[in-house]
Amino acid sequence: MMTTMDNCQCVCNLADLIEEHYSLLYRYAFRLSGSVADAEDLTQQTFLMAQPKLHQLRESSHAKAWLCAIVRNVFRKSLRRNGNSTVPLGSISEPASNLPINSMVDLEEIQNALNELSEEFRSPLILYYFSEFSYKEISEQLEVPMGTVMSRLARAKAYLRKRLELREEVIQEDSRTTVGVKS
Amino acid sequence: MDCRTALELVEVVRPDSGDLAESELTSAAAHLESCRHCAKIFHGRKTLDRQLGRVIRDVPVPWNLKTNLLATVSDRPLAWTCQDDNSTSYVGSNAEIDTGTKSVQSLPTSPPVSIHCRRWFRLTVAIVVCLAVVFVAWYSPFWPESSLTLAKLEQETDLHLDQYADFDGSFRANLPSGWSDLRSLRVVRPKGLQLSGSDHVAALYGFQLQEMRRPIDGVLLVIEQSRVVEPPNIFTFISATTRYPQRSTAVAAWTEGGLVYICFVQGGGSEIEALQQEFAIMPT
Repeated sequence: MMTTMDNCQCVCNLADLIEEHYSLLYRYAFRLSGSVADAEDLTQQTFLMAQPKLHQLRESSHAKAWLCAIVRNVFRKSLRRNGNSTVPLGSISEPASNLPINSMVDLEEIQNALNELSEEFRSPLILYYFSEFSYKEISEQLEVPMGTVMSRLARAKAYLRKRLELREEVIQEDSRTTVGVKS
Repeated sequence: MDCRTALELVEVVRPDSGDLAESELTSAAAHLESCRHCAKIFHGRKTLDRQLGRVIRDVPVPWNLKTNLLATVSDRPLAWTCQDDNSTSYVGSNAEIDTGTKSVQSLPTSPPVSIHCRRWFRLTVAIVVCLAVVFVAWYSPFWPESSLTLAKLEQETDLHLDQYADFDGSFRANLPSGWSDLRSLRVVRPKGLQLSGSDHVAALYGFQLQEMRRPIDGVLLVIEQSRVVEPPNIFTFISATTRYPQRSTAVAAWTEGGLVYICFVQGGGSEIEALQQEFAIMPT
């Protein structure tokens, strides 16, 4: 016969899950959506959606990946609802050169670049940079083969580099122009 | 192996990982050792990856998010949490969960939860909440000054110190160790934070860290430990955890020498980390 404590175990676990994973989920949601309000909504919806399904989760080690998958699916649903403006990466090739090693990375510029990527490229890229999951775990989360993860990752990184490189060029161009005006 | 193939292969190698030792990448790794051009590109990409990773991971988390989440899930009717039968299809959100969690679907289902549990749990929660409300309403006027929490202090502190009067010296608001010795740190005369009564409960030092690419501005709140409920268990600034109670403000709190310090820095995590770094590398 089950005890009351057994019955209510799911509720306690949800609080534990929030305690343990809310920060990661929020950061993931923020990088996916690029907005504080959307990230808060996504995080909240994720836990609310996880709540009735919590009894399915027997191993706590799977919780992080499971919750991240829910974040992504909720985000994808919101994209379908609101439409999105992303760039296809089919035409992205390797950049001819590489960014200067010491170039400063601009936060807003990076978020803009992330927002331009379609979700299928954005998710693996964020998970890659978060360094929380192995490639196998990422491929399981995204439900694509590991080779596809790596290929998407390579193309997304190439796009990011190219995008930041363009910015570098614009800045250098601007500074040259400014110098020209002053002289 | 040609350069293009090698670079494509090592593209997904994560910085500071053992990925390059994987068997699939050994030939690419060997190429990097023999080709200086590719090695240079690979090194550049790794460096950029580290920078990008640092920036992408650095997302300030709203200070009240966890509380809000816990409140939201506890406010939700328990029927959403517990189920009356073994059915796993409950709410209309299955589609969202099912699409991305195939591996989780295969997990065995736990035993069902009875409706009596829900009623009992609701009743218990209701009683506890009622008792808590009565307790707070009855005792709050008599609470001593030591009921100040870090959250309350953070909420009451405005980083524009012009509006505050000079600190009245009602207690010895010493600076933390090292703060007077750091030459690049300019600390101005303290102002006083007055919450209730006539005394200043806390001293507010404005400071500016120079010698950086751009100066870092902030405020250091100093209060007696005895006045703070649950003072921080961290005892040095450099080991204090950074939090983000407001957007564009980072906060770190610690306890030292009978005083509690709360350091507010304008900017984000990188600014407060830079300040901590200054103290970390300061010669003792």
